[in-house]
Amino acid sequence: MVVKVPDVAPLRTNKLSSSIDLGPTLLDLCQVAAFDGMQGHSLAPLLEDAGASVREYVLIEDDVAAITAKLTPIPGKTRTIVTEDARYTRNSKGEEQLFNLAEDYDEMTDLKNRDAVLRGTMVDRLTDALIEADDVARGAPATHHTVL
Amino acid sequence: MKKQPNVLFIIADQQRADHVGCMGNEVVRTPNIDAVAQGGTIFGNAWVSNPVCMPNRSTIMTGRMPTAHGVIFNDRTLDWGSNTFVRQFRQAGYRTGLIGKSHLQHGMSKNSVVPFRGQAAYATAHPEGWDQIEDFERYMDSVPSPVEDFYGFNHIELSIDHGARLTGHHLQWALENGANKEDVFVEYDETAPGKNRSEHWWQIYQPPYDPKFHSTNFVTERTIDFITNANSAGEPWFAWCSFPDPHHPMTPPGEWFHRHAAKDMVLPESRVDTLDDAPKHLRLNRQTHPSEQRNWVAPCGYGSDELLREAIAATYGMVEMIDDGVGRVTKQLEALGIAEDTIIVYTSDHGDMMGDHGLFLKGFMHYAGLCKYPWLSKFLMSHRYVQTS
Repeated sequence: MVVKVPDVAPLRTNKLSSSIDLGPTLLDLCQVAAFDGMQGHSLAPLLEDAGASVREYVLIEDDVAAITAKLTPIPGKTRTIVTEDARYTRNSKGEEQLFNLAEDYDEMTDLKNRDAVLRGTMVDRLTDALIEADDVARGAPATHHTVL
Repeated sequence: MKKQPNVLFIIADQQRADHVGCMGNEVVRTPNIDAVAQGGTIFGNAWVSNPVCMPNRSTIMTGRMPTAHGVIFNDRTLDWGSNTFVRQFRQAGYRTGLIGKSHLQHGMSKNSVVPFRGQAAYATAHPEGWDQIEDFERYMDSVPSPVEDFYGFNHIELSIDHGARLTGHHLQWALENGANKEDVFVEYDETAPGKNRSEHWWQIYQPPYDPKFHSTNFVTERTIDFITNANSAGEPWFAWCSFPDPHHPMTPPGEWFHRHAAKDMVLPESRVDTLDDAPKHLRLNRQTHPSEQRNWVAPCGYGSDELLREAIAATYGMVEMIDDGVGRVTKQLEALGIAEDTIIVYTSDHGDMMGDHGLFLKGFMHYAGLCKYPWLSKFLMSHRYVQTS
């Protein structure tokens, strides 16, 4: 039997999403249980309404081991916060980048020294995101499954 | 009670969000990938949790940030005790298969990063060899005995490396099908045999073997086999269909090497960015010609316009070969009569700078070219599984 996939134009959403949301979204759609410590969000609401708001920001982490940071020019730690309008990046060498993604899609004009209001907003968002990302799951007793 | 939907999770490696036709690219031809979104959803503003392979793949599997699951870089292995969303599917009765690239273990990357040194923060009490499953050396003479539960997968067939270097189950599969070992087991350097090699960078060339041996065909054929067997058994299935391409080395085989002429490639305007105001390591990357990069993976500059045109043309060839594979897998869903019972995801672990801002490859550069990735899904609302009593 050949089943034709419905030829319907795709729904396109420009709301924020992140790699960490892939698993929670699939579990939600298939009604399979999640587990303690999952930090992503189900994006199932965006399937019904492309304008639904699930995320206000995406946090990006980027680290190397201390030995790598010592032997290469790579900063040991970098954190980025992305909103629908802006991207702010800060690393462990004290360097920053700030771009207005709504007006400067190609990220050519760094605003870190030019837009104190936007920078302040993004530093607040980054702080909130880092607090939210703290892991409270490790070490909790595992009772509902065996992993080996 | 509705039937549980199957899940076909297709993931490419290092494919930019804009290297897909329906994401606005008018040069690369991806009709089969575009069709995944027909009747489904395009997530047009998807950003990685980490722009490096192992951390982000571990994040996708666990739904946890790298600082929570522990794989902060390509230099350590996801803890054997980690729970994963795939294991949740397995516990719900799904047959779970991983075909192609895993990179949850520090196997293929172990010779290309600064090794971890010193004392560990904690000891592990896992079975001997738990963290060596992705070591290519184990697969050189034969396929080792199966692993019962690999991070939630009950079936794995690995293609561990990139470009024209065939390792893991992939190597043994190619040899059984008639490949010459010296053509397919090669080093990551200019000694790797090939044709039409770029004068500017050894990593752009046409491999010497028949395209049927390439990783993309291995992943396609073995995914079709996995799906077909699970369907015959009457079990719902979750297939992690994981293509090692279009990650460099840029080695589309046979006809796929010639899909696009380098001279026709359009280069990003932002490559003129001098990065005067940017973090220092970005300027250092920009000044490094690809032929002078550390190991074969470190981020660098794009070298020259000619090199970049060759890189983009070869990358598009790899993406179009993946598109052909996606078409073959989705056609099999239709042949089995299960297309409407299957959720499909098409995604990538991260992008590639590919000349944006004068930069090339991945890691430690948080521009959109690297940090945005494609996410297309055929999640029809009718797939929503509702359990009724």
